[in-house]
Amino acid sequence: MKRRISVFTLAVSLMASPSAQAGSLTLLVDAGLRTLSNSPDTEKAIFGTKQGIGLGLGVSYDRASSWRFGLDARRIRREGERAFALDRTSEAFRLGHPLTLTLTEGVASASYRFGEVGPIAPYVTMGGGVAWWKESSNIAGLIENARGSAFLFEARLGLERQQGALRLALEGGITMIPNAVGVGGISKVYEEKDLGGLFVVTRIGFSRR
Amino acid sequence: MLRRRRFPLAAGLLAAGLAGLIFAEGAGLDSQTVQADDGVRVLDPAYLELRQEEARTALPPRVIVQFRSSVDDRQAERCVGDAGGARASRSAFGPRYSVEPMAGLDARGLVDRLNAMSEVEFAEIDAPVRAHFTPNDERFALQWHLKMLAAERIWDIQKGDPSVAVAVLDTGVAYEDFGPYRKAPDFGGTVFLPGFNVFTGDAHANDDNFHGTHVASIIAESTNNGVGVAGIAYQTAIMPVKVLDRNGDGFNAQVAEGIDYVVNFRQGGVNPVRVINLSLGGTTRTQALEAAINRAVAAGITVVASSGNDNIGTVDYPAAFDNVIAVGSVDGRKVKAPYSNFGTAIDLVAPGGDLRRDDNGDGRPDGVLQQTFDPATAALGRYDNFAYYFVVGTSQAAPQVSAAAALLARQGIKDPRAIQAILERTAEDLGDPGRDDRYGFGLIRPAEALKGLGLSK
Repeated sequence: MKRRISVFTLAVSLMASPSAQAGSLTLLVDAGLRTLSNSPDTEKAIFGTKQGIGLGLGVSYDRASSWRFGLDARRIRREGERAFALDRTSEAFRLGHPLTLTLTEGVASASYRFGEVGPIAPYVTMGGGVAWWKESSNIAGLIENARGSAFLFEARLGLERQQGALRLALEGGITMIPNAVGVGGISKVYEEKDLGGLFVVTRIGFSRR
Repeated sequence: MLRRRRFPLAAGLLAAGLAGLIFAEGAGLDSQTVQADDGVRVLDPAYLELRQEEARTALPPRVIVQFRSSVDDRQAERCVGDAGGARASRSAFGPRYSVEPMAGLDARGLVDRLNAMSEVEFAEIDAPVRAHFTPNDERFALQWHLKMLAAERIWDIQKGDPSVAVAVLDTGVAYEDFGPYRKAPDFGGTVFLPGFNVFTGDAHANDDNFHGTHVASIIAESTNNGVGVAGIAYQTAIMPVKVLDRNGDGFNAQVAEGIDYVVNFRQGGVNPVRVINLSLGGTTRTQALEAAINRAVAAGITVVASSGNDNIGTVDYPAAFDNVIAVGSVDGRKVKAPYSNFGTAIDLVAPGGDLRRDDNGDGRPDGVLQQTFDPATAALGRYDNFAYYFVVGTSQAAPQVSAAAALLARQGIKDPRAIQAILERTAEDLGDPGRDDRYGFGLIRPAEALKGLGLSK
C-alpha cells in the first residue's frame, strides 16, 4: 500500500545533550512523516494518500552523559473523507464528505545515547503517554464529531549530530495507541483499534547550558 | 408488485384489484373507486401553511451562546449550567454553543442570564430554519412517503446525477411522444436513456398500462419544477425497459431478456445503469432469470425487487433470489402493510402505503403519490390522460430502495453488495430486534446511508 503521509510536527523540547554536561537543556522543533500504519486499512479508507500537518511542544532534561528524559507534545491533523466498506476484506468506497482527524499526543520519554561514530551519535528512546483524538465530519453542512483518548507507547531510533548549541537529528519509530478506536465506523469494519503507526521525523535542537 | 398466479411471473393488476391499489389524487377516504384527476387541481395553500406552522412551533426553544475566545470548554460548560442550560452542543468551529433551557426556564430568561456573564460575547434566542432545498412541486406535501424517508435531508446530500441510471423493467414508461404514446408532463426535466421493448425488439419502451410510469416517477419524477410531485433520485437517469404487457403480464424469459439488454448497454463505452428495479414477481424460480440477475450483479448493478402483494409468508421471485434486494412495504405508521409478502428472503421495507388509512391526517389515503396516466382510458388505447395517483403496493416500495441505491452509487459506492449492506446497516429496525421476517433489516434511511462511516463512528 502506497502511503505518503507527511505530518509536520513542531516539537519544542528541552532535551539534555548527552555530549554536554548534566543539566543542559535543548529546545527542539521537529517535522516529518507520521502514519496510522497500525491500522492500515482504516488509514487507506479514510485518508487515501492525502498528507497531514502537525504542531507540538515539549521539554526534556539531560540527566547524565548518556541519558535524557523528555516530555513532548505534538498535534497531528489529517484530512480525509468518510467511507464505507462491506467487510474487513472489502475495498472501501470514499464518499466525499470531508473528515478531519486531530490527534494530540503527550509523551514522557527516556533516551539512551550511544557513543559517537564520527560526528554522528545514535540513540534510542522509549516513551509513554496519552493521545487525545477527535474526528469531525461535515456531511452536507451537518457536523458530526467523535472524540476519545487512550494511552500511547512509543519507541524511536535516532541519529544526531551536535554542533555547538545546534543539534540536528533524524529519527524513526513507532507509536502505538491501542484500543483508541474500533468500536464504530470504518475502524470497526476493518477490526482495527490502534491510531498509532510508523513515523520518520527530523529535529533541529537548540541547547542551553 | 405486479403478479398473476396463472403465469410464472407477474401481473394481472388491472384484473386482480386495481381499485384496491390505485387512487386518484383528490379522491376522499370514503371512496375506493378509481378516479381520474385532471392533474391541475391545486391544494389549498392556507391549509398547507397551517400544517407547516404547527411543525415549526413544535421545535423546542434554543439559545445560541458565543463565548469569548479566551474561554475554554470547561468554563463555557460551567457558565451554561449556571445560567440554566439543560443541554448544550458545542460548535466544531469555535466556542459557540446551542443550548436548551432547563424545564421551567424560558429561552429569554436563559439569554438574559448568559448575557450577564463576562465570559459571554453574546447570547440570543435561536430560530428554526428549514432546509434550503424544499422542492416547490405543488403536491409535494402529499408525499408522506418522502417525509418518512427524510427526503429533504437526502437531497441536501445527494440528488443523483444522469451519469447514474436506474433501469425500470416494467410495463414501460411514458417517456416519449411516439405514436399514440405521450411523454408524461412531469418528466420534463427527467433524463432518459435509450429504452428497450422486449415485445417488439425496438427502443420504444412505452407504457400501455400505467404501472411502469408510476414506478419510474417514484425514482426520478421531475422535481422542483413547480408542478406535480417529487422523485427521490430525481437527477438520476431512467432507462425504460418494457418486459410486461399492457395487462402487466410477462414471463421470466422476458425479464431476463430485459436484464441482459441492461447489462450489455454501453453509452460512451460505459454502462451508466447501476440499479435495476423489478416491481414484479411470481412464485416460480427459474434459472434463466437467476442467471441474468447474477450477470447484472457481477457487472456491478444492484438489483431490487418487490416482495409481492399477497400477504403471505413467502417472498416472490425474483425478490427471493440471493443477489436481489427484496423489499416489503410499510404503511404510514411504519407497520407492515396488510398486503406485503414477508419471509426469510425479505431484506428491507419502504413506505408502500395503505389506501384504507390516513395516518398523516392530510385527508387523503396513504398511497404513494406520483404521476401516471389513467389506466381506464389506457385500456381504450389512450395514453395521454395523465394525473397524480395514490398507488400502494410493494411495487411502490421497491423503487424507493432503487432510488436510494442509485444515490449511493452516485455518492461513490460501486459494489452492489456494499450498497445492500449499507442500506441494511442504516435501516430503522422495525418489528423484532435485529433482522426479522416481516421487516427484514427494517425501514430504509437513505440519508443515514449516504453519510457513510467515519473513522470511529
